[in-house]
Amino acid sequence: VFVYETYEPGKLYGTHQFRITRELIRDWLAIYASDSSTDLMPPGLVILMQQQAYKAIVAPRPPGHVQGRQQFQVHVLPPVDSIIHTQVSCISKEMRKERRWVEMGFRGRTSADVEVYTGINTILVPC
Amino acid sequence: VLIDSCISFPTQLNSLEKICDYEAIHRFAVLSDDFNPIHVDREFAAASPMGGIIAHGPMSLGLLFQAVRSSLHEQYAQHIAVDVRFRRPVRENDCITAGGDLRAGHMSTYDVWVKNQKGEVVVEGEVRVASPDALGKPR
Repeated sequence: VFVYETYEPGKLYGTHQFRITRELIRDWLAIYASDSSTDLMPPGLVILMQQQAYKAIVAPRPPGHVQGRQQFQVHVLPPVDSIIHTQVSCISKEMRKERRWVEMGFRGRTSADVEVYTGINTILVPC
Repeated sequence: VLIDSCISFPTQLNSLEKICDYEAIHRFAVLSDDFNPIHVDREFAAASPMGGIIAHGPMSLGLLFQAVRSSLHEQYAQHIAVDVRFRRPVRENDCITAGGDLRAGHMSTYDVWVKNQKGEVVVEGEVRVASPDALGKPR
């Protein structure tokens, strides 16, 4: 179980695969109806890539994680049917005012090793 | 230099609204595979310190991404750096608005926000628009 003590800064925890499908984009547009639909993925999908990678790789976790800050750098929008491989690592962790903060790093690449996005999630983890 | 000086960006991003009703929150739960009961279970959420269902934080961020994309030429909306902090929870049936203003003295950096129907900031931060080579890498 991933508790604060478990996270190791500098450690790569694993890689998660995310396929960009037309169905996924359709479901995204069901929420964000006016996001334009092309053959390229909507930029906001990096949010899902990052969230799914975190949930799949950093598991099991106790309930109660809270998102404090999110950073993304989007480098390219891959086309439909691309598979994005997201590496998940721990960047740092820190106790501030008795709160346990963890910074997780994400790096998404296509199967052809083109960098799609990088990101950092700052997460308040439960005791 | 992030962007060629002959390029000018709008001084404001298009403001986009979204009502975070249960259906939208549930759709986001399915997409993100995040079924934390605070987002989908009314009984659990009502008994929690939040006192009711709250939307996933990144759901607001999705609206912000959309506001950026709708405001900029596709060529530039593809190459952005986003840095936001989550300030307040978004409650079920809140109407949120995402937008941003070009930072004074900057060519391609926006101060961005998402607010609820009371005008309270729920997400704030910055979005930089950059050429592909200028984004750099995270730490």
